[in-house]
Amino acid sequence: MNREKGMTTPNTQQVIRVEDLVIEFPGEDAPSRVVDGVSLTLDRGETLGVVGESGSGKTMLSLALMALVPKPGRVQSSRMELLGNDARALDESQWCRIRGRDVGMIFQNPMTGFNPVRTIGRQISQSLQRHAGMGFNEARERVISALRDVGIPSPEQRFNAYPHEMSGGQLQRAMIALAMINRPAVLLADEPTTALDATVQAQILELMRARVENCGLVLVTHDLGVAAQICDRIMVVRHGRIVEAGDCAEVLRAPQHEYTRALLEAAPRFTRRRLMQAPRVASTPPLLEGRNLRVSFPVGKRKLHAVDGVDLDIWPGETVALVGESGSGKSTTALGLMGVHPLQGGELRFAGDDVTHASGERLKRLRRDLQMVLQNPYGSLDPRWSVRRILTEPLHAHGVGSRASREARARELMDQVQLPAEALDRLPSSFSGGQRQRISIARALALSPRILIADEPVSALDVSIQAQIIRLLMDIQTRTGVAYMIISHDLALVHEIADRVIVLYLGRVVEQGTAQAVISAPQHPYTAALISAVPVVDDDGTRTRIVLGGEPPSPLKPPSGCPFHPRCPIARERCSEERPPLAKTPGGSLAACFYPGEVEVDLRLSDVAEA
Amino acid sequence: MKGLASTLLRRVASLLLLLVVLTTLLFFLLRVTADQALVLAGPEASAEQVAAIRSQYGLDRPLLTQYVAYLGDLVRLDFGTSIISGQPAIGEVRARIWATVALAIAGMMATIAISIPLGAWLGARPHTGGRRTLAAFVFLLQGTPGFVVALLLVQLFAVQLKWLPFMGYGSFATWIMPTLTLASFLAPKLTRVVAANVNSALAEDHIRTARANGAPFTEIYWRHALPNALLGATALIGTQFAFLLSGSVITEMIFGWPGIGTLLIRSIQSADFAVVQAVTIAIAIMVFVVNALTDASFRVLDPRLRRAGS
Amino acid sequence: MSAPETLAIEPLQTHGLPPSRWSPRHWPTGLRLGAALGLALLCASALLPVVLSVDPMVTDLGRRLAAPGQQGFILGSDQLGRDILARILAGLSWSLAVAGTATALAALIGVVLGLLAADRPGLLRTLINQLVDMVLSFPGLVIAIVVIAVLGHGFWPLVLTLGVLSWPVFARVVYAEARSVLAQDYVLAARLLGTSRMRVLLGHVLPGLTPSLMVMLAFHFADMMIAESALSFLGVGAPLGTASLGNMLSESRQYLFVAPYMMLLPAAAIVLAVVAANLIGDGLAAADRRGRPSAHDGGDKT
Repeated sequence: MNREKGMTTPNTQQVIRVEDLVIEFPGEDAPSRVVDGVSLTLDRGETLGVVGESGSGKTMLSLALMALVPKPGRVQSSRMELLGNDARALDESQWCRIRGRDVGMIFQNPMTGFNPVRTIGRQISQSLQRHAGMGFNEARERVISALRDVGIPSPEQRFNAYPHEMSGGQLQRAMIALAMINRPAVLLADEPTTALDATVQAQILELMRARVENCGLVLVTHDLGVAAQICDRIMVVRHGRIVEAGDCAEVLRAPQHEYTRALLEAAPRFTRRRLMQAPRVASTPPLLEGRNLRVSFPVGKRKLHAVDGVDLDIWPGETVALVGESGSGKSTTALGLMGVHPLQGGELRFAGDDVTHASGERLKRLRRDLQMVLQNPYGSLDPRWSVRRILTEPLHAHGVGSRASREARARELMDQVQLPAEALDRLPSSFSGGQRQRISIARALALSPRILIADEPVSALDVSIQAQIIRLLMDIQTRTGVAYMIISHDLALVHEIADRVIVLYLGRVVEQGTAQAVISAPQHPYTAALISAVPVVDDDGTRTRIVLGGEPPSPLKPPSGCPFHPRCPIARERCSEERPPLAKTPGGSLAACFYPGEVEVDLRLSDVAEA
Repeated sequence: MKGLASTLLRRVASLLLLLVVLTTLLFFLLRVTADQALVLAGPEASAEQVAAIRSQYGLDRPLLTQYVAYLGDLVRLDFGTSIISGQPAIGEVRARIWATVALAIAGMMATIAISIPLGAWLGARPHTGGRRTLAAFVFLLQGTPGFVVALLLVQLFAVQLKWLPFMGYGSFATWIMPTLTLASFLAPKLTRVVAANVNSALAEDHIRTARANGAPFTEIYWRHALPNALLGATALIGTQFAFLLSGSVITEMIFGWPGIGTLLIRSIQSADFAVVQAVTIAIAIMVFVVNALTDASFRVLDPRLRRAGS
Repeated sequence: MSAPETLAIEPLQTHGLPPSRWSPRHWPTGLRLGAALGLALLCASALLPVVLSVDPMVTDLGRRLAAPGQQGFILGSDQLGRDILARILAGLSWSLAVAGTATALAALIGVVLGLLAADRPGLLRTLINQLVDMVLSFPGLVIAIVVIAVLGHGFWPLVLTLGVLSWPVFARVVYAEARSVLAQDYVLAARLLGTSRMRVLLGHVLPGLTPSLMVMLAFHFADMMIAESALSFLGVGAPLGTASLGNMLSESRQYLFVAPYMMLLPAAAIVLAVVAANLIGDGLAAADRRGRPSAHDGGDKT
């Protein structure tokens, strides 16, 4: 309609060509360069992965391609062509005609990406009305069919839904529908799946791969595994510079730069090495014994059973992993063990003592032996407290030691987590995420607990830092013999470090066994799907994957029979009527499925040399 | 709809609670600290006359008995009789309440008419020259008590320029200064809130989404930032209106406005307790109703609250 | 999993040394202006009466209604020949004292009840929140007028009325902010370590509230100044005859034509004091926003 006012669409294959892109922000002394001399090209139908950790400038790079770099940032380049036209000469009103029509963008956080007080349908049709000159009714039809195309159920109703009425996965689908609604020649996606569960991430990646045939896609991500799945070429960036670029499979197979190698090393994959090790389950009685544990919360007049009859043991010195999607009850189980959420049923024993309803002094005494590290290193340290005060807080709380001995303990702990003791006077804000997580770990170790529960201890960190923290945890275990219960959604990580695995779905255990057995031969289809959802770097796109439909049902209304049956690829009639018990399977692990072991997984095992 | 009914029920219950506490407080404060018989009898009355009045009005009974009788009267909507006019107190209130409500509405309308455009304009680009100066003026005005503004207005328009009448209630001219005074209470705050809301709304994630889909600034501003900002300001408008209903006492007094504010001051000065009680209760109910309406309109306007209840 | 050399532990960041954001060097301009103005007013009301040695209560009917600068009055005299400058200074110190004490009282009640409500779910929280809602729906000024008419004039009745009627403002904000601090991971971490409730409240929650509490104190002080002068203006605040800004304005109404300065000068004093307090509040809020370790501190925002 007003296409002639924007730019002509030439027949060239190349849709983006950028040379020497520099983005600067004014700093206190000198301006800081977040992007420093990046050049890139993108062809129609091609997918380019921009891979980097936090601070690499990858987000600004993608914003610059749409002239959306926020003030006071300054963008310079010696060439910037969009669809063959000089983009540097465009003014704001010309950009307004290009954005959303020729270039679409998908942002990281779908929950805040839509205006909360306007319906999804209106927000999407706005873009059609603006660029294609359609009337609302005509646009409405197009939007509904676009919502259907991205896999949103009953799109006629969802058209009138407000953002808060939709889940994160659905919103991200809607965001993709919005970005694609005018069939742009270029699609930019900035960490489109980072805020989502692994199973939902697999769905969204599948969708993006299917939907982008005829346009160029720039995928910005921190996750090499994600890039490996759908990119043709990748570009590894660090501190605003390109460290390596080339054909995706080529780079992953033979990385040239040591930073790429390091990232690759730290990326998720299932290695054969772990399978060789013997599990460490001891013959002694378990240190912590939970039977039929229940935690529920009142929601209105109903009760939400977040943990619904979980059995769980932890032996001295071992590592147990608790896995499942968000909402599966992993964290609630941990907080139930810690006495934060009262247990409404079952029995919990620590070293033989019944601690089910421990409170007051008994609970406090239990906490000397049972400690926990929280997920988010940015939130779990009081920003106003010095590291010294943070590390001695547990000692003060339990009245341990004198002033001098507490100081000595603080120094010892700093040493244990490899931080300099001189940093004791500093505030948390002078530490990076990984360093903060080290402080959290040191604090949890202050009382020398026998069991340490770690709730997603590395998921908020950059991949390269994740590897360091995991190695630190393993070192500490070797030295102190502490037992770990690691809560994680990352099956590759679990495979790497755990002795035993417990898989939760809607607050119930669906599979349990040694890490070796559960991961190499999952018996429950849910476990298989979780394993399959891990975006491993060794995937060249040929890996067979099990993509679950839909999202976890609400624990307020658990489905009849097997709670997993609505999403299960092998569900039969019996599954919707009868709940399968947790039973022994031929492989030795326990699974709550009538048809155990039917779904097989493609692990893409790799042989990585022992480091 | 079930949610609505229970919300309404809870509201009414807490209004009743409020009224019970308020009337009890008033009753004891007023009875314990001043002898109404003395006031009723007048300064020259003899001891016998005072005693006669005391028994005539039942003031010689124990305080608790009086309190129960008083509550009984209240339930029958009998607020007692004014000792000045001899009329039922509720009638005095009824005769004057509309002047107060009308002035409050005028003040609120003026406030909205000034604040929303001004705040919207200031919030769009807060750090440019002219807007900065104006923002500083708004800040200064916020620091000026309403009655000071009233006195300044009188000094300027009535004393110096002689354009407007000092006081009174009737012609259009008499409405100007009281309305401006009320607006000066509220407009600075509302302006600043609207400006701040617009500014923070412009920084939201969804604004970036809209921009990435080609929405020009005007559309972003009018369709996304401003409506969302005003939604946030609705709550303030409600509490402000409630404040106007109760806070117009001084304005009414300065401009001789025949509302319940002047009635209250006069009744306090002449120890006309029945009227004081009636006015206070009337104001409490009005404030309460306005607050409840604000809450309800908030629920209607914001989809996040609208469907949360059901 | 091993990490090669290039991924060694990062160096410590240079920012985030123990804070200096409250030191005057980092104050925003508004805060400096407000602090200077407030300090000047405070000093003037405390020191100048000593220097001038003029009694604000002494009447001199022979020299009444003198314009500023005339008959030896720097800022003129009122209808009884009293020195307006001396009366303004005396009025300022009265207003500052009333507003300051009332603010402190309101803050004390509000912080204690707000913290209690935030920390103890259940009956206590419900009760406190009901009380807050109720006092907030009391028509404040009306009640103040009634209470003072009953309790009589004077410093303490005024302070009590203002404080007891306005504490819910603090309680509400403290409640909301304390709830949000209590929901922070570092509070959960403290509880997991075995830190007692009291220690959590005093060690984590209260310090977390301090910045917004300071902002609130400044704004509340301004509101109390306005309320005090309004009540005095209505004749239900400061005792009649006391040098108070509200009383002076009330008296000036009879002399609008002959002596407009009787109104303008005390009005200017009130405005200056209130603006100073508002500037301080605004400046503290800005300083807090600027210095707060924000959420994107660690996020990937580049």
